[in-house]
Amino acid sequence: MSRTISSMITVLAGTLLFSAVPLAAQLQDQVYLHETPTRPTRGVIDEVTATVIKIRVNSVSRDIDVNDISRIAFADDPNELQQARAMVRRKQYEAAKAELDKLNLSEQGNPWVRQDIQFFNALLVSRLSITGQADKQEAGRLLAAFVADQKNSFHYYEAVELFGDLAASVGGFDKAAESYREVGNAPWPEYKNRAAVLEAGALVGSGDHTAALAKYEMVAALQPANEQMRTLVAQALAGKARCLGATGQADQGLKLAEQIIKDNDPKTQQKVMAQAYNAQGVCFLASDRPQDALIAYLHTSELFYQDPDTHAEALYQLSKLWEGVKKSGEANRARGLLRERYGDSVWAKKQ
Amino acid sequence: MKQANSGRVILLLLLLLTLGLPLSVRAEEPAAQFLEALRARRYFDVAEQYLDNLATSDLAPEGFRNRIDYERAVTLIQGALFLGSPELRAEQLTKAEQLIGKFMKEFPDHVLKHSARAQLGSLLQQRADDNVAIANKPGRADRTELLAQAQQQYNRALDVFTESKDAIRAQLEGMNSTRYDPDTQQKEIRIRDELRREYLQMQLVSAILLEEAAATTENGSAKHTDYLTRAAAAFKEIYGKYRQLQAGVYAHMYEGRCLQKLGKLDDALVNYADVLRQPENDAFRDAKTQSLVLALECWITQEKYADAVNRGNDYVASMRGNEAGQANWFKLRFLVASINKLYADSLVADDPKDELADQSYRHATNILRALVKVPNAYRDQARTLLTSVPGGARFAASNRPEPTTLNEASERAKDSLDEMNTAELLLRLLPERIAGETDPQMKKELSDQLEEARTTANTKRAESMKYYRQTLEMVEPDTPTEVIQSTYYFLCFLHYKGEAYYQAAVLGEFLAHRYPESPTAIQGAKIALACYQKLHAEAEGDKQFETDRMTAIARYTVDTWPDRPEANDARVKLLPVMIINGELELAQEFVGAMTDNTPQKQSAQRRLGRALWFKYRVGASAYRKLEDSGANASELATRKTELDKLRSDAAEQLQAGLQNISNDAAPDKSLVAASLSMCQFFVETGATDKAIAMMESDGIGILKLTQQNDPSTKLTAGNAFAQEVYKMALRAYIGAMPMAEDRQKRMDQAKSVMELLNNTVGQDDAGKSQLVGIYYSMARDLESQLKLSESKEQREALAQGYEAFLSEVGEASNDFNIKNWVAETLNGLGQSFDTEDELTEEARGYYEKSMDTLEAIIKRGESDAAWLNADPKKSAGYLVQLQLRLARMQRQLRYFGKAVDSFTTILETNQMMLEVQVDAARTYQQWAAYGQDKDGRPGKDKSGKLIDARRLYLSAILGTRKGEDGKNIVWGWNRIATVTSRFQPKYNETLFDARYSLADCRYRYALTKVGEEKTKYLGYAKKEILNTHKLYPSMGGEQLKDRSNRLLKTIQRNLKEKETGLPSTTSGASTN
Repeated sequence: MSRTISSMITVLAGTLLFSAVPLAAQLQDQVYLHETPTRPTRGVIDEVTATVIKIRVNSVSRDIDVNDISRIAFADDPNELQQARAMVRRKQYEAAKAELDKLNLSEQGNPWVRQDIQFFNALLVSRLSITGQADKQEAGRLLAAFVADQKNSFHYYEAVELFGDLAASVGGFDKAAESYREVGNAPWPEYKNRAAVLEAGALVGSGDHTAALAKYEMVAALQPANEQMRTLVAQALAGKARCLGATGQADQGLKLAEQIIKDNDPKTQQKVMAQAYNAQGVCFLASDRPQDALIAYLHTSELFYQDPDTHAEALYQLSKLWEGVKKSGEANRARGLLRERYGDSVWAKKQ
Repeated sequence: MKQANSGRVILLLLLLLTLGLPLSVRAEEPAAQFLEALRARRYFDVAEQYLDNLATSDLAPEGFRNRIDYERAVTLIQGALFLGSPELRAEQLTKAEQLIGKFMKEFPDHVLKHSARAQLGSLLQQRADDNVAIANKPGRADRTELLAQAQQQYNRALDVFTESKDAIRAQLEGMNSTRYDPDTQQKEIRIRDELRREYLQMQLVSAILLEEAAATTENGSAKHTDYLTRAAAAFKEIYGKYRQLQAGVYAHMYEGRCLQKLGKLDDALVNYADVLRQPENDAFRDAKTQSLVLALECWITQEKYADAVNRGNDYVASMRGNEAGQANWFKLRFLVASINKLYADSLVADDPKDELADQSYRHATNILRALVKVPNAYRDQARTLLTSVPGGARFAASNRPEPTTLNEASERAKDSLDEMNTAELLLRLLPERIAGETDPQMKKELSDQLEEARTTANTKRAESMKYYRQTLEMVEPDTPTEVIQSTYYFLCFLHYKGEAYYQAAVLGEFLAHRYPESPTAIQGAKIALACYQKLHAEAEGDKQFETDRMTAIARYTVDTWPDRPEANDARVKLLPVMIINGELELAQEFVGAMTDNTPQKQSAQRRLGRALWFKYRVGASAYRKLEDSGANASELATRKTELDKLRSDAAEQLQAGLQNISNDAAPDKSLVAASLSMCQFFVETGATDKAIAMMESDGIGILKLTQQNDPSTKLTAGNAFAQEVYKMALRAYIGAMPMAEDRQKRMDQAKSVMELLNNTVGQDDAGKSQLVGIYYSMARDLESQLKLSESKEQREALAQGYEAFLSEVGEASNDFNIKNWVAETLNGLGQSFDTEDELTEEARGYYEKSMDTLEAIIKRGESDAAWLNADPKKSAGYLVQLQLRLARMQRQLRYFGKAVDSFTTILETNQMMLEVQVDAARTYQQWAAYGQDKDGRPGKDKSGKLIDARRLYLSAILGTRKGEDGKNIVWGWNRIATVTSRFQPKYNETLFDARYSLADCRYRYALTKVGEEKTKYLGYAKKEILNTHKLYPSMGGEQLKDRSNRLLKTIQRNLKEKETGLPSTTSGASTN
């Protein structure tokens, strides 16, 4: 794909007079890798697919696998897109959406930039819809359109996964599982493993704990080679503990959950901790120990409430368990918070 | 200002310490360096452990062991800086002071002597600072004492530093007059320079201490003036000698500060002006800023706003980027804004359109707007001030921006927490003030304030929680773990404050388990424990969950921090749970581990002592039943050993718990309950004099308190406690009688207490029934006491006392209850002298007397039923019970004939009384075995036929005494077994007893025969056992089965058969 660098030179010239950054660096696309997040690979991107980016660095073409990429800054990125991306990284979704809304898609000459804008727009609507600040239907529509139309985007698998998450969050577990299976078709093992864990989650949602258990066990048995994988294995173990509780093996589930809690750092693994405590809750409920379950879910709601799915589940369970200890006020508070924060979630709809 | 002083002193000392160590020592001592590194990283626990290891390790550098006490002290002093609680810090510093003292005494010439002195001075100063801080907390009743203590500590610190100063000066004297060669004596020159610097620092520290000591005296007092005057003079001297140095400039400013405190504002301003005239140089920047702050304070007091505004505005305009966040600068800016506002107000008062006023208001607004945007100590005041500046309200009204970073969120949460604490302080203080206020207007204002404080406390708590939760949401991988720990802790605390006990417990437990090394962990554990206690109290019905959680966190606390005061607290809280669970040995272990000689431990000992004593009493009762049931000697001996231990353990705990309790102590329920148990122990062990002394003692004597109806004796609903006290007192007086010099006095006291006891119950039927129970239990207790008494002599003495008392009371009283008690107690006395092998003379004597009394009671009861009880039904019931007791007593005395007559009398009208049927059958069986009774029978039966043993066995087996319906009134074992087999498993015990007795009677009957007859009846006996086994293979349990097996083998031996015993069990038979 050809680039219109010459036209950009004119636009940027004025700015560059005051900049200390070399001209060459400003005019090139920049690909940031997970391994070197502060040192981008600079060059001209020639091709983008769902799995590989072709970039010319000093006239030498290089292939970079999409799974190694943390982000891409195109040479002709509009400032608003750059801002929006940075805000997404800081989880300032509302502000990012406002920034993105300033852009007119048709004004963007670079199709990959247009693709990026479309993706971030869908992602932001999706993220905002989780906390009730946007419509989930709309988010679903945007993501579905992106997945259907942009199969060659390097965001393709990310979008498919997001679609799955969205589907799961409204109880569309079959669709979610289907999406996650598609993520599993990516050529990289870590995607396959993540997809397996996600699909297991969808299976849990649809009530097929036995099938979910098998998937969780498959990932849990892996030897993690890096921090990302370690987290995934921990999540698989938490899923396994939960499924054990749901399939009549609550004692084993409790032991496993306890081990996960011991082995993970509350500071960096908040989601895993929440999953483990929720698994504990499931096991305690299966063992007819409602007060212990209450304590378990309280860990999620009081300490590890950063992940919406696990937090919503904990709130749902607490809204019922508080009644058991004659704390209607607390039950109402949990119910209210669930409705207020995660009103569109499957847990809120269960009430 | 004070804080700044303290901080500076510590910094100076740290510098001094670093410089004070000879370089060679530092270079050669890796242990010292390692320790420094540990302390710098705040690993104080590890440092202490390292020192422990060095104390015994061969690897310790040479000479290092000598300084271990010193190093320990340094570790404690530095560690104390990070302890939140002033009390804990004081504890730690006391320990450090002892160690420094020890080191200085043992090694007066050690190379670290100056450092040790400096450390000592530093810690004294820290302790004084702590005391001043605690004293200045609102509502401290001990303020005066604390300040006096602080003053003493400052004075001592001053002495220590003066001593150091003198020592350095002495060292310098020789050096100052020496001319060192810069080419060859660099080392000497360096040492001299360092000593000069130390000397200067010592002078500064001493002067600062004098200034700080002034804070321990009342403003304006002679002592206050004296301290400040001396401090000012000392600073002046320093300035005079070192005016060219930075230290000299600081001294000049400090002198001004002392003058300012003395009210000499103009003099002070001269000093500040001198400092402010110093050149623009980084070295003087801080001193100038501080001087301006102090000068502004003076100008405000003097209302000299114009100068102040000019100087202040110019200086604020010169603020550098790095100064915007400094505490001094926040204060300076706030003061400058305040002065601008004051100045403008004064101008407006003269001319509302004054332009200068507008300018000053603008200055004030700009400064204040900047201040309200960032977290700082003056933000709230700035916001308030802003509202009073024309046009400023709109800036003040705009709320603080929502936090966008973790630090901002945490800071915001902390601010709200501070506001909540202030509101709560008001909530505590205001009610008392309102109550004492007489002016209605003021009263109303205070009440409004109280209401506002209540609202503020709640809203600020919620606000603080909101921001702490936001803090957690902003955690990043590089966020220090301490931030997370403290956030968890504050959330835990806030939940607890909001009575959300489940949430608080979850956070507290998580902290305790996850971060046990954090100072917040133990606090978390403490809150969690308190929460579960609250939930336990709140829970209705099943409390197992709350109990389990409470136990778990308390045990964790004890295991993890065994030496901390919180562990003691946990032990105290856990104790009731352990007692309820019957884990008394563990409870003893826990109580044993508590800090000695503390009210907490004594309270726990009393509680545990009571529990042990209760268990002993239950055990003694069980022992009596076991003995009655004919348990074997070894089992009884084992039980008795256990009971003896239990009794002595109980006494040990009770004695420790009641030790050194003054008679003046206010009696409380714990004390009186423990006193009762203690007295009961004394009575039980024959130490009746001790019991009497204790129960009659002034102040906390329980007999007196009970008689006076003291609230502390209302441990239970009704009069149960009083009854226990009187029962114990009665036993004590009776027990003391034989050895008493004045027996009659004791007799009268006993009678008097008996009267009190009788009065504890009502005069109605219910009261009378209760009294029967009271006396019956007292008789049983006496019996136990006699059986468990340590010597025969003790037993005899006690029995004599009782006999004398019973005789007098029995004769004098016409009351059924008393007479009944006399009979029962006499029986108890007999029991205590009875043995398994023989009926002793003493036992028989008491039994006979008891029987006579009982017969008299029955006789009167038969003729006058109302004498027993006004209710005819109850009266009839009593009569049956009395007859039963008489029958059993007759059997006990081998009056078998009389006994079966008595049993038959009961059965004539109460045939279904299974217990009596069993008694009757057993009496026949015993009679047959004994052959003859005390009255010389068997003799003849009703039809005149001679009774022999065989007939008696048959009666035991088949029953006897035909009733009017032609059926046997006495059923015998056969019918008892048949009847009870229909009500399995309710009467299993009786059923198996009957079936075994049946076989035994048949066997013994067979033994009275010879030849084929004998074989035939032995065969019947054998068949009886085998049938039982066939029908009920378990035969009522191993013990009973074993008994039947032994009997079967005996029968088989008599039959000359192989002694195979019971066949092995096969399935399919009936279960039982």
